[in-house]
Amino acid sequence: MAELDARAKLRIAAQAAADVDATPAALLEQLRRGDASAFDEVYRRYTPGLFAFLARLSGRAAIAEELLQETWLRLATHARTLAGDTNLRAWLFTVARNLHRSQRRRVRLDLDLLRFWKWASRGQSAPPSPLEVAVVSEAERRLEAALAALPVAQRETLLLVAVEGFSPTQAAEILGLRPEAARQRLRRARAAIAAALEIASPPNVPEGETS
Amino acid sequence: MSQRERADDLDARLAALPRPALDSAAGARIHARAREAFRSLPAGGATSLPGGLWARLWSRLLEPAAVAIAVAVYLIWTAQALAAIDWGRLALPSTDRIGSLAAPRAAGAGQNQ
Repeated sequence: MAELDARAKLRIAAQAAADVDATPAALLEQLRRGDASAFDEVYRRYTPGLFAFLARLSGRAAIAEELLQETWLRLATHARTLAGDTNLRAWLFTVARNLHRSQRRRVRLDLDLLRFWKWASRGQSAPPSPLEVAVVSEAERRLEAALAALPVAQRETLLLVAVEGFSPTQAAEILGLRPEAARQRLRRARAAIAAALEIASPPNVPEGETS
Repeated sequence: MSQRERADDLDARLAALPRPALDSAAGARIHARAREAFRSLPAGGATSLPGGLWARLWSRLLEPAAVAIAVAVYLIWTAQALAAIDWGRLALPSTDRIGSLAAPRAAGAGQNQ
């Protein structure tokens, strides 16, 4: 039953992502012509996903906001030169991901991220960030902690596919990888999360069921 | 549960996690700034060419041409620099000359003993 629920949820999430994924050609054309209302519409559509992606990559709302602003400024600058067949959502996630990469290069020792990991594994001592407030249940906290503990390369791949609903091939394009390399990262990320969750909560086997 | 089902299950659980939400004031500020930047650019963008044409022209023609020209100039300059060197003056002494230089040293070493 739980499996069915999970698969139903996945289908709904994938459908929702596919709906958001398809930027209407007319909207893209308006954007290319410099129509500000089209820019507003695109901002409204894609900001929640972009912010969540950046917040989970950076582990800090302030950094995510800074990178989100830079992403939208890039679109503002380049909107008129986009090709007519651009997948705008993929374009925005590519820019956001590359900005995060550059930011990480600038800040080698990311103390904010370490602080978040500490919170995720031991409970919160600092004032809660929006990310922390959003995670309410223990199971969600463990899952979010396992996600945060992944290497960035695996985390960004998993976020794009599992959370944002991109296909592995689209995720590979966003990340500048071969599709097979993206799939391998996905496999490793899922295995690492599954292992982390099993360690956090060993299976509760009722007596008499052991063979 | 098969591997595929386990992966689907995990993805579904990740997708169902509450999303970190952007603070509304920060969202409004970012939107206003980006919108202003968008509106401040002249219609047609930085170039009068149709959208995307300049970028395609640059990436497919101008940039490869610029790189090819830079490489060609570097190779020509290197070839000219190598040709201008007088290799005869830079040649190492012959083995005979090395031998004649080494002999007095050996003699001097004998005197010290």
